[in-house]
Amino acid sequence: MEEEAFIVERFKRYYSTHWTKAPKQVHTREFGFGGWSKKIESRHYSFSSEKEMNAFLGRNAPLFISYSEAHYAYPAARPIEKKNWLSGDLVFDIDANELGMPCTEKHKKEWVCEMCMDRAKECALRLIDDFLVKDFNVPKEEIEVNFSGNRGYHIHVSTRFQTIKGYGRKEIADYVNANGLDYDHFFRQDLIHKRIFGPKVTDGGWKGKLTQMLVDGIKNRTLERLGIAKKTVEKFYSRIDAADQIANGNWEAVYITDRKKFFSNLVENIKRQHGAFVDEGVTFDTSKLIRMPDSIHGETGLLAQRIPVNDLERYDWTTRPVVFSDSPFRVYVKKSQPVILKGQIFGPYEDQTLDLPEYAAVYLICKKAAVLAENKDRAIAATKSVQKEENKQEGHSVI
Amino acid sequence: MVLDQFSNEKLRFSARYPFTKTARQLLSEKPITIDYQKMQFAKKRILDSLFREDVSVLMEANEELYQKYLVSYPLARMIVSLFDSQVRNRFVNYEAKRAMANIRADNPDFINEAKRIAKELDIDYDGLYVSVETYLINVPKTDEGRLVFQNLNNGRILLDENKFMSVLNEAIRNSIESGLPIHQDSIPLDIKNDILQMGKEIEDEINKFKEVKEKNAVMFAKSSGVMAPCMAKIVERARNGENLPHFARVAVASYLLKFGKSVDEVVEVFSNTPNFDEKIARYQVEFIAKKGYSPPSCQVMESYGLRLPECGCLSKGGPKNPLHYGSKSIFKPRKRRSSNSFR
Repeated sequence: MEEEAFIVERFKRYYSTHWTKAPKQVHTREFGFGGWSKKIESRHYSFSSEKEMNAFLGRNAPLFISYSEAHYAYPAARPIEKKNWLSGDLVFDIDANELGMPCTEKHKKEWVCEMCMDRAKECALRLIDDFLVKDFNVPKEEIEVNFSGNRGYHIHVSTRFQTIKGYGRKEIADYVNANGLDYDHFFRQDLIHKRIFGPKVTDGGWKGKLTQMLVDGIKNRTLERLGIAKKTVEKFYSRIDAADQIANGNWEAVYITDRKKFFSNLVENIKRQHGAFVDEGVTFDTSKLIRMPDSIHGETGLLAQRIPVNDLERYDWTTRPVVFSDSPFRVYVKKSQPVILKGQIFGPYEDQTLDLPEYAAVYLICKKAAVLAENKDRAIAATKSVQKEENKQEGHSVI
Repeated sequence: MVLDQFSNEKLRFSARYPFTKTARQLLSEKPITIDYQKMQFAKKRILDSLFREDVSVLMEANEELYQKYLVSYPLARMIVSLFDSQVRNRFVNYEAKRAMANIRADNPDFINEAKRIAKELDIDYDGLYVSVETYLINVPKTDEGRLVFQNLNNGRILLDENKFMSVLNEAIRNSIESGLPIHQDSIPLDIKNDILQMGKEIEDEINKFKEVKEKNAVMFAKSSGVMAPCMAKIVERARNGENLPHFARVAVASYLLKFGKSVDEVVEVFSNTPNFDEKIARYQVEFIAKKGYSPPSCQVMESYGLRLPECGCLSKGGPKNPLHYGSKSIFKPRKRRSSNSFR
């Protein structure tokens, strides 16, 4: 049996025996589906009801199911202008391989590990608690979260911000990512008294946040964590009322030779430590299609599982979204990184034939890192052919 | 449609801010006769947005003038819907600018007038706080307007007077833009022909303006002898014997002819290119000359990978066509002296 048929058979069995909850107002959403070669092979689909959607999934079992953040009057119309955009959910995508983690260099972007996935969860929690709830006053019960099925989390707000267009959404993405915090908008010069006034802890938004972080760093003696140079750190610590002065906007209380450079450095560190690292394109592009919650991800065989927002901190991404069985399947693994599923580490493997539980076999086959054991020879021949082609091309470029 | 009595204040307000609920309500309760004068007024509203920089402010006027301002607005919306988004955007921006000028011209305490209009546009404000959602719907597209710089707390943003006015400006703009373009089927039958006629007259004015603009550009290009960098580059490539794509050849040929070069001079430019055939080249250049083709716009040049960014085209105030390179100052719209010249 071919790998694609193997995977489709499993997906079909799942969708025919499990009811999948549709996105809210399903009749206004555009759907896109993908298969073995591409995540979105076709779009402009629509369903009048959850029942119709489930019937389609049971029959066709697409490997990738995406839906529009947008609500349209005519979701199946094309081109996009004819769909007649009505409103759009506010959506955030946090992807573990976009967090600048050192482990990504090691295991490459197609794979994940506990370190980068923990960080992705941390960013999701920060987005929800520090920004959506605290700054934007979105009640927690109105925030929906799902595991992406692969490398991160998606966060949706569908009860407000619906009519904000792309420009406003880009502003939201920039805000949660701490983009564009520049010196000239945070500080002002009083030309009469020749003083520089900076932000205070009582200011709203990033002015207050950033100032509070600096004040906390002074009080707790943790300024080094904000990337401040040792000499400057000593200056802050040696002034007894530095924290109070900064808190009230008097940033001149501690003499800094190059204030702009100091601020720029501070912002870079704060962004890294306190930004949400959302994919800005997903948030601002109202025509985007995004993975449907509770659908199976075609690159992993894991469910893009809905998570109650209060459960996010405890959510175990290695176990909860696993939907396939423990039944053993013999596979040939070309090459794979270690994969953690259901408390077990599988791999790393290279040029190995072995029995794996169905859920792990599906994972590696979907990652194109493994084939069914019966197809081992074909896989090896295909790998050799690709290597030969690569060598041939390298040979040409030398000449 | 029949004339009726209006409360003067309500009429004045509606005339100055015809995009508000008050204005719409007034028009539906007490319809005004549409005549040739009001149609022409609507046409002038659009032409002003295309060819004028400054706006006229409506101060005290008589009932007739207020009615002209009020009813010409929906008529102008129908007319401007016949045109592309570039013309519509200019109309929207100009009307928003006019509304803001009316607010500020009213009195020193203009903030109350501003708040009244904000209420009409459903901007939920409390003192000078607006909800973050309202702010983001109407976010001012300036550096200072960026959300990261705002005083945001618990879903509300504290604005100073200037920022409140910026948000209001965007809200007015969004309100005017909403619903455009109006579909032709929605135009009432009894005025449809007049609307289409006004559209035709505006189109004629636009074409006349474009003709004059091109003539001036050609004149400038010829007299200055300054070639647009993208075209100079194509000429250089041709002289270096490069096999140019067809589009580049047509573009540079049409440009050089407008630039004042003769057919012989243009043919000579291609003489070094591979497979050059003088007879064919001459035929093609003469054809372009006969047809009077203009060179493609900078945007089209960009789509073919032929634009060079050093000329500053496609940026604000920069040329939109290689012929306009270096000749910005000729095309600044005429300034008009201040207010009430509609009377």
